[in-house]
Amino acid sequence: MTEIKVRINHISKVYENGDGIRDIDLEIRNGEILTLLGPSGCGKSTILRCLGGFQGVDSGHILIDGQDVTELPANKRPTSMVFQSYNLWDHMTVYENLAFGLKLRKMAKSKIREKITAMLQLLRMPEVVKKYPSQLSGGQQQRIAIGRSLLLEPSVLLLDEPYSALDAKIRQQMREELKRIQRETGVTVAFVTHDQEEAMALSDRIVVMDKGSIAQIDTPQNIYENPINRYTASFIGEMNFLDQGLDVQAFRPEDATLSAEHGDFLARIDHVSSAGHYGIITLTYQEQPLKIFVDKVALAQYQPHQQVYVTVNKAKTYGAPALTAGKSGA
Amino acid sequence: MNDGLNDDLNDQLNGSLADNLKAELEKNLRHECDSVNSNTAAAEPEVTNDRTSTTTTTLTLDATTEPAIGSTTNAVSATANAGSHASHTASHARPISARRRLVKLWGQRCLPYLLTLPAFLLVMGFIVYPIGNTFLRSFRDGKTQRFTWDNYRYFFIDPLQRDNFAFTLRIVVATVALAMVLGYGLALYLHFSPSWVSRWLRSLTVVPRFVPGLVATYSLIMVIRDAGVLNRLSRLWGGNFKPGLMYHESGIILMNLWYNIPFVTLIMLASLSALKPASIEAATDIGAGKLLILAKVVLPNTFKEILIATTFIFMGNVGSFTTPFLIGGNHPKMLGIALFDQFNNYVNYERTAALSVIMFLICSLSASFYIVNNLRQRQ
Repeated sequence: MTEIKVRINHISKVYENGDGIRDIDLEIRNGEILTLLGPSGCGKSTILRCLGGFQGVDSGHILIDGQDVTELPANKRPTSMVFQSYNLWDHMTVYENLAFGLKLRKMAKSKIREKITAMLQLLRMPEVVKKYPSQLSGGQQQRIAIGRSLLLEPSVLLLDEPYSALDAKIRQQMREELKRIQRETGVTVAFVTHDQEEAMALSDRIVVMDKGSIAQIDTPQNIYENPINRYTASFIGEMNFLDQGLDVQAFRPEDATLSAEHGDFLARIDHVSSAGHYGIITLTYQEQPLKIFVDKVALAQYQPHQQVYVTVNKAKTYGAPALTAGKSGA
Repeated sequence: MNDGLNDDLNDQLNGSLADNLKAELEKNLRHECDSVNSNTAAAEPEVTNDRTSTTTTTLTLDATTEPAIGSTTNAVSATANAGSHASHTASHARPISARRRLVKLWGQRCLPYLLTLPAFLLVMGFIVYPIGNTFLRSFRDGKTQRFTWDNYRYFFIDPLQRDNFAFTLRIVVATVALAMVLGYGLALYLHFSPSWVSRWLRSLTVVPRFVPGLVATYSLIMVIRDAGVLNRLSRLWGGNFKPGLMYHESGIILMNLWYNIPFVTLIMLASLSALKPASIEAATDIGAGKLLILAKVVLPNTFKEILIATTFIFMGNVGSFTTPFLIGGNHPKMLGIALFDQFNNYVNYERTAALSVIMFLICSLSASFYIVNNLRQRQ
């Protein structure tokens, strides 16, 4: 049912210092937002740069729309990249920035004007057309950069941590904005980020990366509910790990309940705090720290140093302590 | 400006050096008031264990109470004897006296002027005055001291002098053009090529800065003169190659390039490193080829430094002396040599002055071109 837009076949690219990606196999579906998520140095940006043609591969193939683009340089690929920052050319106005690529494609002037007007309309910032990038905020600059890429109607829009230089509030707005633009244009997006919250909020599917390999690919919900290994479990959302000899039991702070009378095991409360619409209680059990979310109404009955019973309602068990970096298709 | 400087100085005064001085001043002032009553009475309670030391202190302070304010010598002598007085000064806090405030104010007001005075005098005496004098002299007749245009007219009418102008401009323009093209090209290569050759060349570009001008010029002469290294090498193969570069403008230009290419390269490398790689990658991504990226992204972003380099090379070469003196011929001559002739050989100070003003105007023309462009960019 879903058409495959990009097929990455066993690509590897290892840098001199040993960093890089090894045997990456990945498919990007038409019209989805796919996020590559992982800590810095995990190879997520390398995959994107290989896709965009800014980085050659040691082995493997990249197919976009069924065409092998592995050997094509960046300017010949049907992709367009938005970088972390410094995307726009400072010496050109917004209009000139947007028009540059279209002029290269020998488009008629009237057509260019028409397309740019429509694009600024889509970005909801038609008033900036004559301004220079230095007169725009960081968020506005990144939106124009996205617009510039979209004008070229790429098969895949590549975004390399485009919002990491912006502050938290703007970042949230930008995510919503990107989702809206993606809905309206139907463009396929590959998005790189180290921010799991951003990945969760934005993506149709997330690729969790670990040291140059893929740890897990799935929808945000599935990755949150069923992390395939301890690495993914600890990287996405908050997770408690209880070391039980051979195995490690992992459960989310919201998947356990507290009770004064009965439960699975007894733990001592360290700290009670409120996060507004819910309460956070940290406990110690067998010298291991735990964190549990409780209803804000129930928060009042718990005090530090109190002994309470903990019931784990939903848990995953992982082999300890080896971090087996397995792979999984969605 | 002044306020900032004052604050800085004040900070410093309040800091390390001044701590002693201030404490002592305070002590002296307090002592002045106390001396109206009884010195010994004031000093007595502070005597802790060493009686003699306290007495000597009191004595020194007494003797120098009146001229004490602001006098460092006293402060030093007091410090030498102070000893037990350190605690004494710290414990009593009194309102700042009007007199002390006056001293402080005086110091704040005058110190910056005092500090800038030597530089100011130097500039006025050795730069502003001679320039003004030269300017006036250039309009004066050497014998009658009357106003005249003749000194200028000479340089614009005399065919030999007109040749000198044309010769100088030709050399300067050729130097600027060649140095910019070659230096910029080299900078582009050094910046974008990751090869070891590029790294090696980059460290070589600073070498000309370390070689004294005269030494470099003589070295080049040894190579390019008609009986020089090149000639002797050609003889090894049975030829007799005479470069013909000596006493010719091409020799001067060649020497100029030795200095100016590395200069351009250094400036342009700094400018290129400020250019963000993403800016170029974004252009590549959009489909621009290398030449287009150079024209549309790299050149506009380094334009300011191109202007700086052009202006500096132009100005530096208009007044150049060593190279044309050693390599240039008897006629035509570069303006620097023509100026030297007027001053040293013809001892015509009025014409020297006029030529100086003309050269200054040529240079300021290129400088104003740079400034105007700079201002326009900032808007």
